[in-house]
Amino acid sequence: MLLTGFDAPRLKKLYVTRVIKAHNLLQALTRVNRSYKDFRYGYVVDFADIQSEFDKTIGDYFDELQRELGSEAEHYSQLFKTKEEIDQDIQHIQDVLFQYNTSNAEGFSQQVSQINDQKTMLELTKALNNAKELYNLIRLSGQYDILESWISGC
Amino acid sequence: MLKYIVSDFEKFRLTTGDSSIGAMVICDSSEQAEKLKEVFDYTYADTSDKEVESNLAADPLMPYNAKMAAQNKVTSAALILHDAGTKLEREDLIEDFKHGKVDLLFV
Repeated sequence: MLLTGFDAPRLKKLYVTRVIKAHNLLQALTRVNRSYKDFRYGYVVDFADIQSEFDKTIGDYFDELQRELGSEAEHYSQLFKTKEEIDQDIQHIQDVLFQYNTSNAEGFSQQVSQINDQKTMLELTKALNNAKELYNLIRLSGQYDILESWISGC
Repeated sequence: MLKYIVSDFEKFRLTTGDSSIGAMVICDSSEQAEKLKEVFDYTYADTSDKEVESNLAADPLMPYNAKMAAQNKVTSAALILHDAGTKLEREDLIEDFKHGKVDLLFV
């Protein structure tokens, strides 16, 4: 019930207490991906261990897309974020920020004002915004170990 | 589980700084959904008018954290099952949820 055709953008958090099968799972998970304000992600709390079913479903779905769309399908593989991907994102943010002075706000501001290239600027903005969102996300989920390794890496 | 869900959701609203977001609980069975709704109504539901509550939240004398807590509080839930209520009642509840009058849905 209510897994299909239910569209409420303000729904951003989903609690799953049973394993949902195949396309119903995708339907259910995508209840939270409507665009709403500044949210870039929807959030799912899993009580039922949907991971294996999810991997299977997303694999099937991906194969189907690949058959239908060919190489286009690659763009759709990034629908959901796992912890490993978050780690990767953090790595990328650190790479981008590496050449800047992040321990001194004044120094950082001077460096930023020297950027003339739009592409570099865009990349930096994207990395910083992403960093902010991931920071909130990690704090929210209470995974402080990631946060600590992140800070010590900076 | 309900205690976890409610406190997690309130924390989520606080962290995202947005008290307008809603949540949905996909239950294992209709019995579980009914029970959760029953416990929710007994423990968390605030039957007082939303109007009164928003006046309270706007009170400048209230400390900031208390104000935020009041704003983010999860106070209403609805039960949506095929066999509960009439089609019309369910549609009303869904509309209420979309417009932000209901915080939590049990389905």
